[in-house]
Amino acid sequence: MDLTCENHDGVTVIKCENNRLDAAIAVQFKDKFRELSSSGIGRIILDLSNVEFMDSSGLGAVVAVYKAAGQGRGFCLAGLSSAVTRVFNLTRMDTVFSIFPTVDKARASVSGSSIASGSA
Amino acid sequence: MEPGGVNKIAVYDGRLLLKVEASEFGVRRALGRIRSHLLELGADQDEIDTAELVLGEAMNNVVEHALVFDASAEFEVDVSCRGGTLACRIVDSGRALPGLEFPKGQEPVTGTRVNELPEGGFGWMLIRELTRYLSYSRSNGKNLLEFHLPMAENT
Repeated sequence: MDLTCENHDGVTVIKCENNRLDAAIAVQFKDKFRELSSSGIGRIILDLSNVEFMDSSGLGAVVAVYKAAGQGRGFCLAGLSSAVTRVFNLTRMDTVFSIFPTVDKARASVSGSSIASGSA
Repeated sequence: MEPGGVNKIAVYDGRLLLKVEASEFGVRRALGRIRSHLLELGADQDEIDTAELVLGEAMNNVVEHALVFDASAEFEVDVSCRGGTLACRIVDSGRALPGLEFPKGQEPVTGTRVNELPEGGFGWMLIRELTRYLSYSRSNGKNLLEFHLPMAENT
């Protein structure tokens, strides 16, 4: 499981470097994310642009980290592939998360301050 | 068994039969095999993505529930493409589905508070949404899950 983290301008961008976010790495994803997000500050953007495949365990892990770290801090998703987008749409989780096409667009929105801050 | 935990038993007439090691990594490797098989058959990206998602959910259910106490176990996956349908069968000798029925799966969520959001139950929901035919039966101590996915006629 490979997550990278960048903090600047009061925003924490956590990027999933793996191309699969599935049952095989869901638990490690949650653990690593918690570790990185606790040392970061401000709002969190989860960059999923490398992820080509996500299953229900991967989705569950994203929901879990949102619940654990996202509340009160602001949390959004960026860079969803078409296959990943479909999983969010089919489960209606697209209605729960703030989703942006790119990290840059998410950043722009963050500086404009409209980002999910805990009330879905 | 070949290194990597997936043993190809047979491939003929658009049909692929695999023995899969009951682990999440066994499932990953089986999905890679199925993906290549469908590519060779001329399936399009959407069809392959759907097959990978549904077969992955169904196989992970076997690994995480039916065979959860038996790490050395294997199960069988059989995918066969004919007449605009990808027919899939998964056979394992693990525990039965509770009540011998499909779990209901998570209902679509809308307007739920963040701390009440479900973190699981999405697998059956995806299987139900994406399959055209879905059947579960148990006989002789084996679970048989069968489902159909739509494919283009010429695949």
